[in-house]
Amino acid sequence: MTTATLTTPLPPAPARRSSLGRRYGRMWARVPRELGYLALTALIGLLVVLVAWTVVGAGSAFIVVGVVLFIGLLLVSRYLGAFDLRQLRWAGTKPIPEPSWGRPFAGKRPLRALGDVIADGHYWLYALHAAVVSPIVALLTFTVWSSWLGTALVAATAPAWGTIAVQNGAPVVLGRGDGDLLLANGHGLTGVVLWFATGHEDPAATAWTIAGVTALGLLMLALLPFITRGATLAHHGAARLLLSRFASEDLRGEVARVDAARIAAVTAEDTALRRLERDIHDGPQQRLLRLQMELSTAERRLDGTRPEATEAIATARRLAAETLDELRALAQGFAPPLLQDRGLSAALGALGHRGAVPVETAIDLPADVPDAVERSLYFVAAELTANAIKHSGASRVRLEARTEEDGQGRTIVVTVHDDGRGGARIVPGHGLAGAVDRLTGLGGTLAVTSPEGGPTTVAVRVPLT
Amino acid sequence: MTPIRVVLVEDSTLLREGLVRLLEEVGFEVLAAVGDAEGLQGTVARLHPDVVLLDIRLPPTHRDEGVRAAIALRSAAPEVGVLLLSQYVESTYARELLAAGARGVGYLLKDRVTDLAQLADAVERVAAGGTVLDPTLVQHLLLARADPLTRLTPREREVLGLMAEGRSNGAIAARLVVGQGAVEKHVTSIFGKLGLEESPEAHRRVLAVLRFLDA
Repeated sequence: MTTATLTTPLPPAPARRSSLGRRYGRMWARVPRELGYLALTALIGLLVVLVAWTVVGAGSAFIVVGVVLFIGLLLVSRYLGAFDLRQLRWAGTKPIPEPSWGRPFAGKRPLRALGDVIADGHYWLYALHAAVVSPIVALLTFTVWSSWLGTALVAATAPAWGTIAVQNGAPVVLGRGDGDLLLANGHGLTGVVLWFATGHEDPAATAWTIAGVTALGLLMLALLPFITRGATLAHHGAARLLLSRFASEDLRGEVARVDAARIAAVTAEDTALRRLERDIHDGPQQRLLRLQMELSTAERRLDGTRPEATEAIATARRLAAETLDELRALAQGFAPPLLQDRGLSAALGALGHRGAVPVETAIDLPADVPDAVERSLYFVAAELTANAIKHSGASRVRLEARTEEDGQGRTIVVTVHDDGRGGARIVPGHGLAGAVDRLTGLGGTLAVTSPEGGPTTVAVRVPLT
Repeated sequence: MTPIRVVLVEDSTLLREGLVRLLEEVGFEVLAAVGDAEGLQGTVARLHPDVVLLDIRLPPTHRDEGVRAAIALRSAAPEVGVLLLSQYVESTYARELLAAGARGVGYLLKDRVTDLAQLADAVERVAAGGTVLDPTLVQHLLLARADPLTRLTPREREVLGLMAEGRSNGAIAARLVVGQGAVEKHVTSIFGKLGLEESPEAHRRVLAVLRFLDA
């Protein structure tokens, strides 16, 4: 029966057959690696279980030793997990994204690094995987695939071995020759197979029973790719649950990318505006000046001899002068010269000398503020001081700029304080809202404290990345 | 009378040529016209000009090289007049320049020197040890300044503004179409209100202007 089943041709569907055949071929191509992976994992699982649990058991006798050993386990688990992921990829499964962790001790004080390791959930999941889940999965899969493979090999090669006999009520395969070497006993899966193959009876080592056993072995071999695949996928499932990166990490990466894009956009705008100011300064402005010189020379040469021509030239000069003024005002509107030439500290300091109300300034900023941040902060600070002077009725305005440092990095804090009438609000389309928009591009914030009757404090915070 | 001898530092060839032509047309002697302030002190020591005309944005960085060079020159050769020329007037630069010595300095928008008469006037006043400030700057500072200048009457402020531009009492009188005596009265009143009664006249003028710029 068995042989008949095996020799029955598959349904005549060439295309499907070839595609099925190809798929089956591909499965076989993966078998060596899957087996390699499974064997290695089983071995590692065994070792880890032995070592880890012995160590943890011994270590718990002394709390300190136990803690140190446990952290050791966390660290080792990380690399075991990473190794498992690599082996899984090698065995032909879909890659599992690893958590985005750096080297644990790179550039950190040791205690801090240890704290980070303990606080990182991934280490715990990796430890759970290495010490508990992976060994259990390995134990189950090992039992299945090793007995399947063993049985299949022994059964398929039965003709080479010799006889199948019953010893102590269980069928066994005996080697050919004098010693009757026991090649496989009849317990477990092998026993079941032999039991069926021999027809539950005393096998007379007939040619038929040998053929039956061989056919069964071949069938089992044919199905081996499914077994190794299944076993590998069981490991893959456990790894995907415990070893893969969290979705939140991807989101964090996405946020970082969006942040970088936003900063790049603001920086590009700043660079373009600075270049534009230089270009206007070096090009049209110089030419308009020279034009005025030429016109005044022409005016002088005419020396009043042609009044109408003199008048036209005077008009032309006036127009050139006005154009120059407009260009200057335009450039100043987006690139104040003092900011361009001397940077933020000087430009903010100069805000103190501009208004009708004295502005006290206290500026303490580092020299390495990015150009784009400088520009935006300058315009926001100018807007805020102008507001305080114009609308608050204040007699004193104070402008402060400094940096604050915390665990996350440095933040520039600019505050404008006035003793005016208060009641300042962020109204869409007005000055403060414009300042908020400008700051949003830099990841900054603006907070207004302005009770009716004053005083008003506006605090601007921009992170330095 | 020997012509006023000048050195010109301006990086734009277009403007340098134009200015040299205007300066020579006025009758000044242009000893050198260069594109940057490198080695300016050496040039000044060698040529002994009466006035150095300096652009502010100069190579290599095109930021405030001119202001730095002017201040350095003030301490190296205080007898040489310095006239800063720029596309912008920055009160910060004006304050720094005046703090390095208010005698024989000037700071003008380039617009003011496209005209022969204005250029001649500015250079002559600086050469004579006067202080020349751009009207835009003065107006700007007038608008911005408060106490103790708030105590000045509008007329007094006008007079102080003209003093800051470096004009003499006679010139102020002519400009305001009043008698010189009236101007002197205003000036005395300004000194009084600014608390500058104890110094010689010329020194008080400078102090009043500085107070005006610094208040």
